Amino acid sequence: MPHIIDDETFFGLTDQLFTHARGLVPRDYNLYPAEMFAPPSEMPLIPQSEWSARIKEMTETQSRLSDIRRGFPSLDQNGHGYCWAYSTGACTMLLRNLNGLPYVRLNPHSVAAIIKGGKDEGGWCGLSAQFLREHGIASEAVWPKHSRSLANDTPAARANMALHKCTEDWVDLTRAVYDQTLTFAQVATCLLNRIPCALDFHWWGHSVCGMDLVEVEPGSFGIRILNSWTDNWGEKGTSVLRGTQAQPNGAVALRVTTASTE
Amino acid sequence: MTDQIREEVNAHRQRFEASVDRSEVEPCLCRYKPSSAVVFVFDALVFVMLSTVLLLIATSVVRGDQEITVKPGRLKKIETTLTSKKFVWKSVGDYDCLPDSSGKSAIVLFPLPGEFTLLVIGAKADEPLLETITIKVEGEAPKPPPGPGPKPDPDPKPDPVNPPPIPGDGLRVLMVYETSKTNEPGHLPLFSKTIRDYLDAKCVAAGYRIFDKDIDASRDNKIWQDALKRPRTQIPWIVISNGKTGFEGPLPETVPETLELLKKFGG
Repeated sequence: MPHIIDDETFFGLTDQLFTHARGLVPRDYNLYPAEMFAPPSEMPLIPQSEWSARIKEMTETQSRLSDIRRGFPSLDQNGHGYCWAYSTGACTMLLRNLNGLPYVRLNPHSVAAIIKGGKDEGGWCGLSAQFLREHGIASEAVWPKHSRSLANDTPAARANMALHKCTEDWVDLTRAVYDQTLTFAQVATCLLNRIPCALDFHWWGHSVCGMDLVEVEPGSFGIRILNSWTDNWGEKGTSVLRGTQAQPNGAVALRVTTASTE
Repeated sequence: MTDQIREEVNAHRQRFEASVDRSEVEPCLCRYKPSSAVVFVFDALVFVMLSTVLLLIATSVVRGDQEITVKPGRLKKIETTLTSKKFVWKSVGDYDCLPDSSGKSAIVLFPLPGEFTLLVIGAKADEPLLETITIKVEGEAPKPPPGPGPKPDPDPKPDPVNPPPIPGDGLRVLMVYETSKTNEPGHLPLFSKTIRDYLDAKCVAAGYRIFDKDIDASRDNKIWQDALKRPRTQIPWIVISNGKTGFEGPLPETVPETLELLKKFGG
């Protein structure tokens, strides 16, 4: 039985959910309007009637994003409020695995530190997604792990960042801000297409990487997320969100990353 | 058969001799009662005439034997030395003989080595003509042609590509797809654990890529940039190379078919 966070288990997991660093700051639509990303209108939704069969096939063939992860260790934001960069960083690592690219441990601190000027401040997934598209993300080999020092922002680091960009079709899954059902259907469609999603949850104050659509019980669906609190959390760093806990308030789908050998 | 001919000739001679009524000849000789010398000369002349007639008969029945050497399984045209308006070709043995329209020659075909006889029968005026052709068939019989072989593949796959589409020794594989269409049928091999386990085991280090068709590969190894630029007729698409040869074509729709294709080049 996977580690599940839903209305029934929520209150029993508060120590696991709120004692670690998070960092989500809800999106300010005045600053970041809905039009800043490509709309999801071109993405045909997979009907809910097909979800169960598709999940079953993906599970049987071990072709889910969680399988494609190949067990690489969860990222660790290490107490800094940079979850909003770690969610997109994890998505990028999953894309690299999906592409058959050599494993590179990326460092979302390189993104968040530059955006926030070295400060330990929160944000939302779209901020880091925009930076990933324009500049990329550095690896731990170039930007020291957990470092917020802007001294690391060197030409070599920038060159390394450029090796790990997210290109192609950002999809702002929360374009229909007030239609949460549509948002969940869009996320479900992406995950069934093996497109990882960075998901912001206001109830949690946290941003995480969405990997799989899961059928917890017949007809009851949830999202398996990859957290940034090491593999010691949940089930090897993952958990399944269901019910109201699975409704994201902000979401972007990362579809294509730059191909590189390092 | 030569003995048979001799028998026929002898029978013919006997009939001829039997048909000569000596009582009509001798009385004539007796009534005349020439002198003994004249009788001797007359008898000698009769003997010579008879012998000549018999010889002519014998030789007119069997005339001009031929001996020919041919190879087994090969066609041979044989012409008769007889002069006649019409001919009859008689093959003695198990072989084919096909006279032409004039009858003057015939095509023969001997399947196996050996010695065979071919008779040609003609006529000149009332005189029967017979030619015996001895045919020696020597040499090896031609080998039988190969069988029909396997039936053609009703679903032929593209021929292997040579030179290999991705340079370098060892197995390398590129699969190309469109991200927005991965929920359509036929994309499972791209993500299947079975395929990925095979690629991990058989490909060289970092030896496979599974790319969206629009991916920026400018920072990847050149072999992958070049492989991505190779022409495609549809997606999803697969490029396989083992350093000696390779394959380019549509990605098989199922995992077993994809695995079977990969194993043809990766073992």
